[in-house]
Amino acid sequence: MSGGRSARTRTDRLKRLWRTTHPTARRLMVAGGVITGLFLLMAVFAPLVAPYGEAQYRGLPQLGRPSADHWFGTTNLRYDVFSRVVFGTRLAFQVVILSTAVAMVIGVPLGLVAGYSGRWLDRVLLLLMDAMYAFPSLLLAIVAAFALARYVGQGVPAAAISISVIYVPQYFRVVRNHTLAVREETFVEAARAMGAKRRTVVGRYVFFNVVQSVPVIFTVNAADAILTLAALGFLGYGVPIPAAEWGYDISRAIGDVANGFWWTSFFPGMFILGLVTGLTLLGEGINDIVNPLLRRRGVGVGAVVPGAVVVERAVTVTAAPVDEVSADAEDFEAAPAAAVTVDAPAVGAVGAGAPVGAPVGAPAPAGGAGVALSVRDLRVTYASARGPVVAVDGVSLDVRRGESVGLVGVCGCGKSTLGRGIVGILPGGATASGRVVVDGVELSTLPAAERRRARGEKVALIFQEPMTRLDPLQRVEDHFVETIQAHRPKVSRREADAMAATALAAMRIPLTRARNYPHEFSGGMRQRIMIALGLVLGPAVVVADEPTTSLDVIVEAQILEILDDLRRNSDMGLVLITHNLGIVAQTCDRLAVMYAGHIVEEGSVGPVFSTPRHPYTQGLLASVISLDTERLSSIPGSPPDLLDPPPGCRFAPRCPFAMVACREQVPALAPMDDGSRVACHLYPGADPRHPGRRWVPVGRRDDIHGPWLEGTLQ
Amino acid sequence: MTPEAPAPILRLRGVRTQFPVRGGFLGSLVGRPSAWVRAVDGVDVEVYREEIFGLVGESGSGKTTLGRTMLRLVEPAAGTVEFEGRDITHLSENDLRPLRRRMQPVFQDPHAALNPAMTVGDAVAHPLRVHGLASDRADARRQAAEMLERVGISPPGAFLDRYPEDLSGGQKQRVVIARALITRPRLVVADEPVAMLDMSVRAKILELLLDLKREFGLTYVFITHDLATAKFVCDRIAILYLGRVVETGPAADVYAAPQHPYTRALLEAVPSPDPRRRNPDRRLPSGEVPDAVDPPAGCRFHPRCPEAFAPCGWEGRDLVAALEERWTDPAAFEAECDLVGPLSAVEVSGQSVVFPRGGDALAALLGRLRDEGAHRVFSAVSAIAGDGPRVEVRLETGPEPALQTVECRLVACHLHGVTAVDPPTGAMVP
Repeated sequence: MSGGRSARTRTDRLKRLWRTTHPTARRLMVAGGVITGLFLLMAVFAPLVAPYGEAQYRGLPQLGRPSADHWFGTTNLRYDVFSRVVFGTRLAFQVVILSTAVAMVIGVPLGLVAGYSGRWLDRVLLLLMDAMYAFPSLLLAIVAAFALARYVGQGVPAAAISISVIYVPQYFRVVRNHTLAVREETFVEAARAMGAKRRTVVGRYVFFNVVQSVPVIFTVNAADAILTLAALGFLGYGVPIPAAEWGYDISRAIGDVANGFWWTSFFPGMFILGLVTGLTLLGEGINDIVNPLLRRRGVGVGAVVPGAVVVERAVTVTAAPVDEVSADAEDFEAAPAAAVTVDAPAVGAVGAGAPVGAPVGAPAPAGGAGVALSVRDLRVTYASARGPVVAVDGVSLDVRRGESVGLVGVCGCGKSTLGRGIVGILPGGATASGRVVVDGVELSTLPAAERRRARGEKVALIFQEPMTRLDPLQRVEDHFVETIQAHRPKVSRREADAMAATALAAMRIPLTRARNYPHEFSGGMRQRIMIALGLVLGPAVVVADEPTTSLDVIVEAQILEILDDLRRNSDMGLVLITHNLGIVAQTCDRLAVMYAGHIVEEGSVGPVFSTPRHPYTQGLLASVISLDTERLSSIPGSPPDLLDPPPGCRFAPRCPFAMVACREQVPALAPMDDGSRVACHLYPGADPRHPGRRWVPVGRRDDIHGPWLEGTLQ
Repeated sequence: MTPEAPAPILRLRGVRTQFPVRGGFLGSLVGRPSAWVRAVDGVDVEVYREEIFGLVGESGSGKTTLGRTMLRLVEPAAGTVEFEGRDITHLSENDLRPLRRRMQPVFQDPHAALNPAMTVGDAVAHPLRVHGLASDRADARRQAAEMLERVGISPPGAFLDRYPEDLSGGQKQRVVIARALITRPRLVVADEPVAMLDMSVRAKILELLLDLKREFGLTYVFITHDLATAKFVCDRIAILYLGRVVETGPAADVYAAPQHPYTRALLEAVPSPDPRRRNPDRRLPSGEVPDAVDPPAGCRFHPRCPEAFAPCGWEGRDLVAALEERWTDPAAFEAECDLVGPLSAVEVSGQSVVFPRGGDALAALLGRLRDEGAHRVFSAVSAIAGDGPRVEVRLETGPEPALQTVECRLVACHLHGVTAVDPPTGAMVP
């Protein structure tokens, strides 16, 4: 039956979640679990552990010091302190379990109903629960205990219920808010569309997703409940004597301390502290595991699991020119949301051993006339829980002034990481090597402060989601003044305003609106403002990472048109990162095609589009759906998992011409006679072992699972 | 290519679907909205058996809402929805339930469309259990496995007990398709089924959808913003703009010779993957899709339309926007800004604009702009009247264009002859 297998996959899931947590967090959680476990054992076996009964006083000394007979001493009433605290543990667990159970049984269904049905029921319940929540919690418990004492009488159930009153609103609020969010999910609509009854929708689709947050509140509340119980006992509203209850015992022992009998209050106090600490550590730990946002924040990129895909996506959000530190922090929070995706885990893993893909026919080293950007052997490595991932693996690229170079590839190929590597804004945990020269200045060797200044002055980054990068509380004009004055402190406000006006006018933003706030602009205008902001300092190179992906096709065309005018007129180099080959064909001079961290083909747009050489480029171009498409085409297979990349050419496993040689040797980028460069053994110069010669396959591989072809050198 | 069928499988008449815009604090307490967004505003559509009908539009066009209305996931505020000849506009959820197995959605985001707490096998089998189409659990599981195999999830046994998070985007979309088809529906409304997938996966999913249509004799409503995909996939299409159909007809005709300026603009904006076909002279529409809470009068596209003229429904606010747009040129800004004064002080109501200051000089400037045809809005200026320092400009009203037959398709555009819709019924008045 499916039960066992389901359970197994569920355990796998938990195991994976467990692995993604930070080691320190894991250690703290284990410590919390051990402490709580010991207390629980003590509670369960209290009669065996305790040497005396909880209310036994006959034959016991009064206020005896801690001794071999009475480890923790005895009290004024001749009780054995050790036995009292052990039985107190049992009582504490009884009350906590009962109170949270009651709170859950009331709070969770109410939250579900209110969240799913909404309308007046939601409003009424919310108002009621908020009123309860606003009431001081201890006071609420005392009032409840008072009322219950009259009808139920004092005891464990009364104490538990009066404590549960505090937690009902908490369960209600968490479950209701979670339900509100889940209710809007597409899968709930799918359930409605399949004709499921309301009961089924709430039960099978909403409840199971909402209920995951309940254990977290439980552990967090449990610690709190211990303290509340102690406080109630201390004030005399808890479980009455002769039951052993820590708070009550402490209240009775207050006078002893002044007379030198420290042990009567010290040990109950330490037990409260111990159990509360244990439960808190455990609760925080569970919270870390269950709450993905916290998980990501705790470990940064290091824990980006299960696929390295996430790395690539996290990176597409990128950072603002000025304060990249805070921007980086945002990226991680954005990452989990963006961490959906893709047919295959991609990005690169460490190419072990010899330098991979060393550019044989690379253009002359950096800094030639008219060269705005020169990248040499750039390698970016992310740490992931499963090992280091080389997202960009030894890439070299030149961009001239006034030139537009498209960087294309599918999600996870490393194009966004390359863009960030160029600007020098990589997330924490990522390391880069290689050289990046912008306008004759080698950024990679600059001291941090100067490199920061170079960002914006020399090289700017434009990213996908404009709204997340504009400060909602700052006028558009002030964004410009801040950026300008951060880089050029001597520029006056008036001059900065003038520069801002010029930059905005160039992006066709009405000057009448310079003093408006970001939310007063449409999406396309915001993106134009972001571009103007990136260009205001006149950088030599602009890296635009999917600048129009979230925009409609007409607005996209408007922005690309403006961007095209700008780079021609202001003589800057433009690196346009996109998955849309149509955009590259329409607006770029050259393009570089990336696959699994390598550039596999690079050249002018004309020849590459008319006669693509690399089999991957051929497949990619054929798969584009355009207005002229008459037949659908796709590349079989999916990109490699780069924690374990295939040896040799990384595209070979999907290539119709894959030969034995492709597996043996990584092809280098070889120059072609029209100025293109191609990394494929089908072309002369790609195999460094046989300079000037090429491999010719015998036959063609139509099934990617078929045998590798034999090849001959020519 | 439209197959001749006696009756459409789906027919929408004058459908309007609206959502409340939340009011302020008091409004939310009382639960009364301050305004309505008419996401779909008077749409007539017919979908025939075994065709692929495309709903094409940008964000805010109402295409997704229209799709949800077709499946009665939302109830329209006006108009009727007929499915297989039966009026389902106001059916209760209970009465709809048996019909739901014959009409199914496929969603845009495969990651959100699957319950993360349900295994693949349970997700696909669940519709069978909801409709009592499986004799027992094992039978449901067997049918789910068969359907998974059919949509290319193989071997299904390896996936039945996996959770969606273990699957790639393409695999999830296949599971979503399997879940939609397991009850053997007649109609499938696919909302951007490939938009969130990587390029190399899109073709595979589209091919799968086309194969399944042939195999099961399905009818698709294919919702997309991507004109290229729509052209490849659809038999007939409707172009939507701000909740209304602006052009509809056989896909081949619409693509070969688009008759609405908006359709033309969309097609010109699609970047061709052929660098030899760059078009530097294309005329892109200005601006962006306006707020649907208060859509433009007359033809809703007129403020952006490169071909708009006097009867298109110009309003006072269009004149203010035109001045603002004009002032993106710093020279014009310098020369005219002081004379006109702050645009926030300009009083706009309907077809009238009152400038509080500027006097004769401003009236002369506006007159000159009208004579020069500085912006299309000036074609509708009927009067420029000075009154001391105040200057009032009046514009002609324009009717909302009705759909009229032009070259084998319906087009709602005054360029083909001025028409007007009759507001209450949405029907055409010649």
